[in-house]
Amino acid sequence: MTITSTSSLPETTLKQGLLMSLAPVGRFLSELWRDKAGFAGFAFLVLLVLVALFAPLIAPHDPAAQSVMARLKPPVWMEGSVPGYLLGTDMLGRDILSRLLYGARSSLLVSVSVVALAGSFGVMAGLIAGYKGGLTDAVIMRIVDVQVAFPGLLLTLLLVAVIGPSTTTIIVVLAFSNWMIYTRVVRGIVMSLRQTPFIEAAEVVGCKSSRIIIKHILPNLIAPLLTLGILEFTNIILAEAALSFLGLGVQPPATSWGLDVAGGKNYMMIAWWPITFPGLAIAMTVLSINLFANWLRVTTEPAEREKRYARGRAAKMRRTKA
Amino acid sequence: MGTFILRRAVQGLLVVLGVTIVVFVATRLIGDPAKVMLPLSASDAQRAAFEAQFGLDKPLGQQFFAFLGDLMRFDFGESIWQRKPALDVVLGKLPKTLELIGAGMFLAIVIGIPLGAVAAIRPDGLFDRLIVGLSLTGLSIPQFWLGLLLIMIFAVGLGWVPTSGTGTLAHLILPALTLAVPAMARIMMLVRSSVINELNQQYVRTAKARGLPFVRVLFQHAMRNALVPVLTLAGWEVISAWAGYTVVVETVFAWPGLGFTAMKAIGQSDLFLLQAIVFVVAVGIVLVNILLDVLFKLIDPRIKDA
Repeated sequence: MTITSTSSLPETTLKQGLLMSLAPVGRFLSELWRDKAGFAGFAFLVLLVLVALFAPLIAPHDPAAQSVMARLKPPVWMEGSVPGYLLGTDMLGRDILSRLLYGARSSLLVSVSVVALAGSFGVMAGLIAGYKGGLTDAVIMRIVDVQVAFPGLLLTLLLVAVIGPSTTTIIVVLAFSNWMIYTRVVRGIVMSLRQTPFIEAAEVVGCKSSRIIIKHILPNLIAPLLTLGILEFTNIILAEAALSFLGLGVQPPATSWGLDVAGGKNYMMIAWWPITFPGLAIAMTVLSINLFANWLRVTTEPAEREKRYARGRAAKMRRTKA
Repeated sequence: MGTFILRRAVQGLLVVLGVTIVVFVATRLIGDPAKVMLPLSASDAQRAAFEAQFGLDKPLGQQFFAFLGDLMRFDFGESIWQRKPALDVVLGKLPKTLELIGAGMFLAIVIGIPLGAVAAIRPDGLFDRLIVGLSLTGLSIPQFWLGLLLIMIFAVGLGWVPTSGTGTLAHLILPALTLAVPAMARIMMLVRSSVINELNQQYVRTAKARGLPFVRVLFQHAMRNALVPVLTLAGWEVISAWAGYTVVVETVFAWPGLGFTAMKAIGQSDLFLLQAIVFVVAVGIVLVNILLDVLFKLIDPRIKDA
């Protein structure tokens, strides 16, 4: 009795505090809800992250457990299926659903690492080039120009073949071939920001360049970088899948969607499910990111926002007239 | 124009030099050719003989200049797998890859431009939504999976075309379509947005007010202006396909071009052949880039020399 009475007061303030901190999340979700496709994409991505985090708890089977008795069994809604294997089994009798859940881990691990690695290096190079200008800028941008013209995928194949395929290798190699886009974007923005009065004022007041970069320039980069980073995700997920499909990415016994498609390839004449489901997982993930990024691009750009608002008003007027 | 081409050529040389440095660092510093190319059972004497044969026992600086010298003489060494000069193997496979890229880009442009333009007539209309949805799907499907699905449906299921190989038009259609889909999606989106932009311009209103038929306004007036950025994108698509993005398509369809050969070379640990492919493609990218720059300058004189 005493316990409840003493805890009732902090509980209400706690609830209020929680509500206050959740308010931006609610605003974000209610704005996202208006774009149904964007919302669906976001929801799928949240689900994917949860699935990847809790794969060992959700997966009905061990993704590597083979079963000679249950090879190439179809999904449960078809004839000849085995109960317990929702999406059927592959040529080694492994549960396809469990492999999909674990495969989400590879995709997310590789794409998050590559975007973080390439992004932080690329942004740093872009900040230095844009802020220092002169010779530093010329050298950095020349390196960027040269590397953009490299035979991207072939060079990646050569590097992976020489170093030896592994998850670490593809993270490093993909980061090496994808940092330039961030540098170009960041440099462009920094160059135009340098002309603005508030940066000039900070310089005149005597701020150190590190302070100007971190306190005044970086915040202005967040919105464009967010959209760019999210779009780069799609490229990296597709690249990881392609490399794993070619046998040069994630190596067994680890799982990857691309690896599973490659494994099911030789049996596709007799069984469609081992290649269909992992491929569908890749396509849906990338599609979700594209839909969400599309919404984000429109939302963070004032001009686009206005256009969307005008379209909505026009549609409403048409409806009320009819 | 002369200095413009010269400047581009110098930039191209830098690209080839950059590729050389990356390949050298990768093969000589990070990796060990003797380890990659010799079987695991090779004895120390065999290893030493191999290193002496290719000059791998010399100091690194000397190795680098020897490497550069070989490249300048187009000497890429002998393909260990095919037992003939690596360059001959590459040049023999080149036409097949060019055929695939040509057919793929033809499909992407011929289908992508009209569909994008028609979608732009009524933004947010039914057809426009369909086209936008299709483009997003095309961008999201992994190419290797799309290729396998097409084989499963049209070659295995319906039996309309052969599953793999080369020779006839029926062999070409599925690989070309698979290669075309992402490019087609990007072209459709760009044509759509730039035609929407042009249709909102004053000159279109004037043309309409003068009573010109809409089809003529769309294709003769708006499209002409909308096509300049589309051409840039198409050029970029050709380069990115050439830069190795045919590897996946060629592997899925067993199409005997450069990409398929590159995968075979990796399987056979044939480092020299792989190097030769990377260099020929790098030089190709430089040449195509210069060609496109000149072409764009001829089409649109507003483009600056920089």
